[in-house]
Amino acid sequence: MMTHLRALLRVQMITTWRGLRENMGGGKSKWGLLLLPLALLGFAPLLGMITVMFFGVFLGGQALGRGEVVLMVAFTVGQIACLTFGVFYVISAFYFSRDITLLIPMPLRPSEIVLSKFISILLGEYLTMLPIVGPALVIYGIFAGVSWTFLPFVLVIFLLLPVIPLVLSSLFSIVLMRVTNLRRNRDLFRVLGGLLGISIGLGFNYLSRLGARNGAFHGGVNGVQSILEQQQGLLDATFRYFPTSAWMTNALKAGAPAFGFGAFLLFVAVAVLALVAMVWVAEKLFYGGAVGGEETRAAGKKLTREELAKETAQARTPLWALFLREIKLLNRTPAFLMQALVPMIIMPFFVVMPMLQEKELGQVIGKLSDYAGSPLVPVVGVGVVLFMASMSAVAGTAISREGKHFWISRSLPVLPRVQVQAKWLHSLLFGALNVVMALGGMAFLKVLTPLNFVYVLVGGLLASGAMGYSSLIVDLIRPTLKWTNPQQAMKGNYNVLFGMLFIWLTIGILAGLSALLYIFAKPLLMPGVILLFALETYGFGKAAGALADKRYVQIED
Amino acid sequence: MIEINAVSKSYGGGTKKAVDNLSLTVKPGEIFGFLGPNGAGKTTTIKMIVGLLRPDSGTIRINGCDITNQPIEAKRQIAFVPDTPEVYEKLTELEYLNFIGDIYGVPAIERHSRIERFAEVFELAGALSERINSYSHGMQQKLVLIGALMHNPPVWILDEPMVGLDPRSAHTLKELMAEHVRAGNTLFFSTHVLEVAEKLCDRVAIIKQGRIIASGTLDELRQTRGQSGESLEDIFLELTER
Repeated sequence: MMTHLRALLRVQMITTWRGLRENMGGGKSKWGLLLLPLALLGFAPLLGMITVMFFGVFLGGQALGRGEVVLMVAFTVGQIACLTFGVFYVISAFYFSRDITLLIPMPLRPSEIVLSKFISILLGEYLTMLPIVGPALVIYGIFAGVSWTFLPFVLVIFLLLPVIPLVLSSLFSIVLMRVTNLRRNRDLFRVLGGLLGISIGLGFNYLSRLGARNGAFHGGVNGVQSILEQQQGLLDATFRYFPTSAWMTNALKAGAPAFGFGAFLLFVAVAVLALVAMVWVAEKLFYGGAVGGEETRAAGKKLTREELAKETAQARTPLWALFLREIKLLNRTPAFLMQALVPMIIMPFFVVMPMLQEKELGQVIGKLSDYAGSPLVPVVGVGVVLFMASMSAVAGTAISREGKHFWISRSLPVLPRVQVQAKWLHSLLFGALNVVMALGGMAFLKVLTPLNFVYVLVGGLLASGAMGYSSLIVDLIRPTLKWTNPQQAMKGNYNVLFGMLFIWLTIGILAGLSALLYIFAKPLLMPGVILLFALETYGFGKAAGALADKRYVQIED
Repeated sequence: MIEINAVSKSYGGGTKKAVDNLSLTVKPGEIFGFLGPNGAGKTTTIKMIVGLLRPDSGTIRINGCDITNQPIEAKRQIAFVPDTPEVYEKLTELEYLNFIGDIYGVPAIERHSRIERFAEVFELAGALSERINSYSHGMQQKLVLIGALMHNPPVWILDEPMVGLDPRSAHTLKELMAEHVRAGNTLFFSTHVLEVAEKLCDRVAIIKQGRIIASGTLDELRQTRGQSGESLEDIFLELTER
């Protein structure tokens, strides 16, 4: 068993590592990894926020004589995250990965395949757990006065932390796939995963607003202390429903080594038993859920001559045909569509939800309408469009999304600059939706005068156009064409991040220029901004076209 | 007509030569078979002919149009079928064919008659409104073939076109190929099925390690080797063994 497992793991590691490298670099070059620090930098604010939050929890707990609460909170949050997302990781790796059809005919035990996949997910989980649990462990280790024995225990506990939730996710997934035909509905599964992500994002936003209102983040120690006191029942329930969190906390709690060691042993034993249970269940049920379900055959109907004549009656220009192709391929790939619509779904929630929690909303809106004539209002409107554009992955992955079908585009007798134009028009469609949202927001806030309407409409479309071209340029430079599932093309595409950084830079420049125009030539503020984006759209458009003509020939698959 | 003149292509920063100073001409009214062992450089050559790969040196002309300098004009002359039939799975067959028709500017009336004819002869008429992701490998291969033939181009370039086709479809394709060259057009295709090459081709070339090691009609190949009555398989095996 160990020989097979080692061989399987080796292949998993090689493919994961190469995938990561190619995703970062956009090719086989190792230089792309140099971008890793830049990507990590993007997570710095989140990490800082988590650290501050845990420090608050630690201080609050310590004031009550229960500093270890920080450990319990971190372990519980970590395990819940692991458990929830685990189901999607597990189903994706166990059932939807391409190598499954290759592995099943091999003389391997089901548990060997499952274990190898499980371990590779586990390694990924450590990276996820690090920013969630790491800060709490460091804070407790430094400030709770623990002895040196804390270190080996904390290391083992960190390594075993995701095991139990992942085993539970695996057991749930194995049974689910055995009794349902979800394997045939790969796209549905991916959409469910996306929806879960959005729900968690919204939930986190809601909780953080709630926490802020209750003074947890701003009220300092006293705020947290009062929450902990109020939520004593919740803490006790956590201990009851997440006994593993309690065991881990007790094992690491300062000043109770004897009791802690027992809890530690109990936790390790349960983790090992969980693994054994998973191996047993995998042996019984894994192949049953994994075999078959690959082929789908839609029940089509034969077209009559008349129907065929009708369907082929309309000849379109190449640009229009390419534009329609972009629409169909994105709309019919749920993972793409989700990602394209996310900014438009999330943005209003994130802006509107905190506003609805404000009690004096009516008064605030009333005051805002007094400023409807301010030249800054349309600038802010265009800024909102730009912000939404920065979250959009439509243009930034337009080339990448073609994946293995890119050969078709490259062999078509249509200039690449025209092909890119079709992709740009497609992204502009989403830009137009962003403009509509911004205009709707302005109407809601009663600042939408006719002039503001024209300014935001024209400025917003031009801004979206410029950003569409700039994102396309990024994707043309380093497209991610070698993906096996659509999420890699869009969600896991670093081009979106680079495109976003570029748009943020533009927002900065816009703010600077607006400030200058506001100070020196107030009436020219919005016409100036519009002119700026018109020039930018023209320049980026020319550059994207020329680059496409060059890159479509260079990119060899 | 296809004119390949002193074309070379390397991978891995010039360390691995996939095609080495290759020259050949395929004349109108001719079926040209391109043979060779796996990894010999067949697909690389074909990808260079259709503009998917750029030669490191040398020129390729399709009916007088240089594929590097006049790519759009050259591509308009070509029907290309790759070795792996990968097309947009989210489209239906008809949507894909309409897309190809739009791109190549096939008028509505011709489009209708060609789709009707090819879908019938390749037995895909009942699947026109189905999404491509419900197709088997062979059905996808047939669809790519129909797409390639939609605009009635003078030069066909087919990479392993028989792979995945059922016997009836393979037979139909062979008939279409013969019909195409009878009309004075050009056909270049690669295959591992030597019996097919022997039966169909006016001339063949055998490529090994990026270089053409033999080229000509079957009789010419036999004469060069001084052995009459040898099959193409015998010639191929002996030439590629060395």
